[in-house]
Amino acid sequence: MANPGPGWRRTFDQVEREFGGRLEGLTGSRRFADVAIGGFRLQRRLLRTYERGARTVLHAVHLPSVGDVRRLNRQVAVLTTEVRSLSARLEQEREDDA
Amino acid sequence: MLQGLAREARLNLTRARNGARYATGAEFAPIGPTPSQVVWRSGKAQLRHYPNPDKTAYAVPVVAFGGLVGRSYIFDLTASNSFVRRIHAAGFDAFVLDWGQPDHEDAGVSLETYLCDYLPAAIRAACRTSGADVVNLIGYCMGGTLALHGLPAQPELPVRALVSIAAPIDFACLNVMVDTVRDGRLDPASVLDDSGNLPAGLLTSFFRVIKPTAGIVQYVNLWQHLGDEQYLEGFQALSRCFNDQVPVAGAAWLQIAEQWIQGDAFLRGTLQLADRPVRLEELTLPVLVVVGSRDELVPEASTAPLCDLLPGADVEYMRLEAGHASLTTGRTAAKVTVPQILGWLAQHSEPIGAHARM
Repeated sequence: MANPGPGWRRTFDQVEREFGGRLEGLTGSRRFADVAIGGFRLQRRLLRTYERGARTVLHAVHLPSVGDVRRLNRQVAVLTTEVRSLSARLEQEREDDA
Repeated sequence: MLQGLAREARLNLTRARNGARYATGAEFAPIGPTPSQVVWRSGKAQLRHYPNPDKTAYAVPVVAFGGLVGRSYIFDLTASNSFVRRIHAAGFDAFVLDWGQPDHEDAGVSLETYLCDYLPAAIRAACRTSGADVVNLIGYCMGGTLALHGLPAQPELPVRALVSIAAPIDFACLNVMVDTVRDGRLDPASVLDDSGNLPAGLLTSFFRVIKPTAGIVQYVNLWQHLGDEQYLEGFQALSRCFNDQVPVAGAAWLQIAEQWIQGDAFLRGTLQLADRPVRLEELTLPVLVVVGSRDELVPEASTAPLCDLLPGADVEYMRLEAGHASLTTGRTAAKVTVPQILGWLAQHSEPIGAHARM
């Protein structure tokens, strides 16, 4: 039989089983998922409001905002993907030739 | 009594010392203890070769990979708890495919990139490095799901056999957070972050929901075993691995959400890759489907339908008394699960010199 451990551990395990089981019932419910999604959406909305304000201020002094940098990053990413796919095709053709 | 007190004092001293070391970030378990080298890379993905220090008994090397959310070092956690070393001990040469950690550059990386570009190239690199004609694949968790999506569409790939460990294919059986994506309460595109990817933090919270007290239990375990350095090594390696999720490339996530989660594409036979249908029934490899009876992350019900979906393959179903992690790591893995998995692979791999004898 497995060693049940010291007394404090046995007490903890008992409490955890009782409390954890109930908590799992709660977090495993549809209602919890809806509340979590609501919280997530609210957080996103607040962040966007803040970013809009920051963008207005930055553009007023001719500085790029995080959104501008993001757009540039995406354009670079598209180019990187194209280069990657070209080099993969080249490697494949080389292998086929060999 | 004095001896008992002295022993307790010594133990507490060790615990205090280890606790201080742990809290200050001391390395009990350095990442990647087994010697390896990168033999192929493309984008963020890379293939690591772990040369077998002993003579390999089988001509077919093993290429292992996990899903897009986990860290590939789960296959090589510590010197005493390394899946790679167990592959070596079973007589195979080992490779681990790491899909990489996507950033803003990779938001457009799709399942086609992973399955039609990276996977074939990594398999070719493994063959080239080991001098083999074919490889065995082990897909762990979502890695198994990826393999099942990619292999039927590319029958020309030199793969001898596939082991799919705890690979979800029925997403109705996972957890409530996955259900929110499934039934459309959560728009998959709305969870992409500024980089255009699915953030790792969100994935971690998805997993925490399943066992909310797991984090507390983990630290209580740590407190109880603080005097045991070997335990600390395993604890640090595992907790780092499970808390260190990686983001999922945005384009791939949207495909996963649309096809795997919302579309039930595995069960309905509507999988697509590169605008072509993927037919699971066309997979003709030997496939080992491994499930853990105590797996809470990917319950058996989520994997079990697979056997009926692969009529063309020689499928074996292996139900092991293990949880999600203990299918590949820890004592249960060392004694029970991994030997059975590798034993099956050995049955499907020719021993070195078999041709010469024939």
